[in-house]
Amino acid sequence: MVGGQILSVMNLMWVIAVPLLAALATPLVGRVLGRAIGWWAVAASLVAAGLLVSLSGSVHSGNPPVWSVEWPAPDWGMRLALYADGWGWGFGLVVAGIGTLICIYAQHYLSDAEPRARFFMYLLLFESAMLGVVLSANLVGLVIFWELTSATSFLLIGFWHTQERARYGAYKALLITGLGGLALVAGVVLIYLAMGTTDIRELTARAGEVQAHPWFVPILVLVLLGVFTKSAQFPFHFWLPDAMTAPTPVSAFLHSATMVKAGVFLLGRIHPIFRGREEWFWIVSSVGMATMLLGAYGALRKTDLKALLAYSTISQLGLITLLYGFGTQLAALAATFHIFNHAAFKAGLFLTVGIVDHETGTRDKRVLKGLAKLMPITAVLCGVCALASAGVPLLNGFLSKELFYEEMVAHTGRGWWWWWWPAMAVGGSVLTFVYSLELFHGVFFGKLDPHLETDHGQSRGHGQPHDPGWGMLAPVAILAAICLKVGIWPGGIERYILDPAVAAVWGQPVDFTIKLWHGFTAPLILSILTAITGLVIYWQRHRLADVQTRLAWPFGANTIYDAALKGLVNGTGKLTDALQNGRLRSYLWLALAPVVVVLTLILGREGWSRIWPAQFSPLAPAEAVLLGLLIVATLAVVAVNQQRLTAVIVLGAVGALVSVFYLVLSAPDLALTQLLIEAITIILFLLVLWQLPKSVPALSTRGERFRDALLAVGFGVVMCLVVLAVAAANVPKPVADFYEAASLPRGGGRNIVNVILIDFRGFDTLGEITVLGIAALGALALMKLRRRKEDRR
Amino acid sequence: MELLMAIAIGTLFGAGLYLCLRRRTLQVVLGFALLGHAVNLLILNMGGIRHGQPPLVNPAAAGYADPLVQALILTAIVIGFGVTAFLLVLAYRAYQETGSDEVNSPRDKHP
Repeated sequence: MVGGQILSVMNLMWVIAVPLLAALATPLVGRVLGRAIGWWAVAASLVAAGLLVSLSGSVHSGNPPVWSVEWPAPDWGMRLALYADGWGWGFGLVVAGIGTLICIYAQHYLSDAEPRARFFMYLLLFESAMLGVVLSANLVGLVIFWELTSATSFLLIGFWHTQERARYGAYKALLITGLGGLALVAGVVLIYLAMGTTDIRELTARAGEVQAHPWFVPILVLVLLGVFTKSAQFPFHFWLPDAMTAPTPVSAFLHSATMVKAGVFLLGRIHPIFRGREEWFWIVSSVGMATMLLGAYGALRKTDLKALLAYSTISQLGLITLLYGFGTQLAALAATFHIFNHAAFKAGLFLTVGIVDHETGTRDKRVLKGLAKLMPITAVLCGVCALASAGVPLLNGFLSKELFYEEMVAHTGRGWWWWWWPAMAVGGSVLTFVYSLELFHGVFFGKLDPHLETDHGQSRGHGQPHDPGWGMLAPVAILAAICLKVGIWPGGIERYILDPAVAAVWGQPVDFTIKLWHGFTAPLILSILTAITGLVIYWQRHRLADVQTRLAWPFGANTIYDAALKGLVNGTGKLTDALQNGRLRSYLWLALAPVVVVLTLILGREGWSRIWPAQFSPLAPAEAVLLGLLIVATLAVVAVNQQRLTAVIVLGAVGALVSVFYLVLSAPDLALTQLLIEAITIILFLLVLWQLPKSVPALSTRGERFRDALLAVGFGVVMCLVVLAVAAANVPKPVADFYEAASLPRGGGRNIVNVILIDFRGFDTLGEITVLGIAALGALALMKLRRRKEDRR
Repeated sequence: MELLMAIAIGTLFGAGLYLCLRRRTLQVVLGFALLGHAVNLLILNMGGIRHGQPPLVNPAAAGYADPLVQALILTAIVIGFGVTAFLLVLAYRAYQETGSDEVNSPRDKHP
């Protein structure tokens, strides 16, 4: 028993590790397998799914397996921990299961010219990251995997990176979900600061504490920003349609069945922690409803079938979000059920559209008509998925839609205005019904375009469109079969996946049975109303299109996004130009004015007692004269800086005075070096001076000189105080003692400074010599540069 | 002693900065040289003030000046010279190329 437990715990780790390792090995395996590399990805996904199935026993027993390592920073609540409760496990099965189907499909979908190995490597990387999101037991781990899904999504959207649109879409998706991810990180940090843990199970157990915490609202808002951006909720929905530039298998997998659902997955994860608060209900449900309506309305405006599906996905995600906001048991059941149902039928629809695109070379619904004649099997499969999406009985979509209506109607007892929710629910569902019919009836029935019957001209050399091979049909068929199976006999899947998932989302086991027929109730009446209204609108769809054209809103989220991005790029460009303006003066001002201010503040805080030394060393008359001369000479350099020759000579005097001063302060080596260097410097100065213009009128105005003098005096005074503060501090010098003691026995010299330079800090001296060498080479290069030019003349 | 030394170092800093803010290359190099002296004296000051106690191993001596700061300054003097020399050559070459010894970038004059 114990051995079995450990085995299943290791399996949990392997669920994520297998796709990851397979992805890393893909480039090598690809060389062996060639174009069959897709089967490698299929195998990896199957293994991941199988490992999950092997865990089913402990999941169903309500004793979820946990695997954790004390890494990377357990002291800060950061450890890699995985667990498979009903919710994560069920979602993981969807990821690995649909992943398997997608890999089979993609193996047949991609043309031979595409870089297959790269495609499947990205896909497996994503799968691993997504499984990490759903199995994480710790919010920090979840966030890391979350960001990895954003990154792999970026790679996959931009897979055809030579296309401008693909780059634009990939960039947009990364920016929006990435910004939301940052908000989520901030939310998790706040949770840790507030609760001292990021462990999801512990937080669930202490849900009351979280809700009572004064930071509850900021935490909620930050986490929800992550959720809404990831799941394309209004007003962040606009990245998803542009993500459709990805190859269709990617759209089906990431941007419909799994990655965009990470947001609603997290809603389900934190549902038992946050539900019940008014803020949770109002924010989540309102955003969900707005998204549901906007998405369904937008779907009808699109002529590109993939864009239509993108908007319909937005709408369905809105529905799920809306339900989680209600925070009731029934709503949790309906939302969780719908997540699974939507994954099945929407992935099926994407794959069907992919087949149509593959065969005809177009996705324009105005051109595509009557394809059932040419592709009967595809038509049937598409019909099943589309009707499931519309919510027609005997299919899975109907069951979750009924639960949705039931939940909406359940609250109407609270007052007449609560009828608003079922009314909007029906509105959204009617629009869903209409676009689902457009996908199925519109594309596969009606008069066939004669161009399509031959070759569309853009098709990929298939001649007349026909049903594709089994490799592309089988995945869709399996998904359609699931829609039917769940729609007619929901029992088995309900017990296997749904029961444990809902129990985890709700926080405790929930008693329910999903029934196809539960009497002539309000939900059924609303379903019938939906179907009739939907049929009428579909029949009159050209009028709807007219209305939509008239209502067209020229100013959308995309306009704001584009303007904001442009503004950001221009703004930072201007800021950089302003700061990096190539003027030494402004650099010095920018750097040193703050130094003066900050040092003044620090010295002011320390107080006079810390600046003024308690006692001064005695001042010999000779030293007073020396320092006095130094001050006078320094000021003289400034005073005569217009008369260059004089200035250079006075500078030499300053250097000489400093050398003598070194000598006085027990530093004979410094005095020697300084004197030598000073002599060479003055010679260099004179050499250059000889070449420069002799008369130099002042370039700066009086005002400029005054301002500069102000800064210079301020800087001088502050530095003067710093020197005093150093003297006042009187720090002990253990390092000096070490060198004194070690100089003779370990360095073999009595002159400690020399021993330090050539022995203890020999590498510093090497660095110093290198700097000199570089300066010399630079100077030489500068001179040579001119020589060559002269030679050419 | 410390007070006068502080004033001298402060004067070197202020004068160096003022010259670095001028518009001609030679003045900037002059200012840079002054700043070098200022920094070296500041470091020396950190080691404390000693008279007649060079940093030698001599058991008979009453004490010794901090050798570490002196080692640092020795390095700094040499590197300061290297940079000054390079700046001078740069100033000279810039004048030859542009016919002007102004510090500011051409962008300044031709916006």
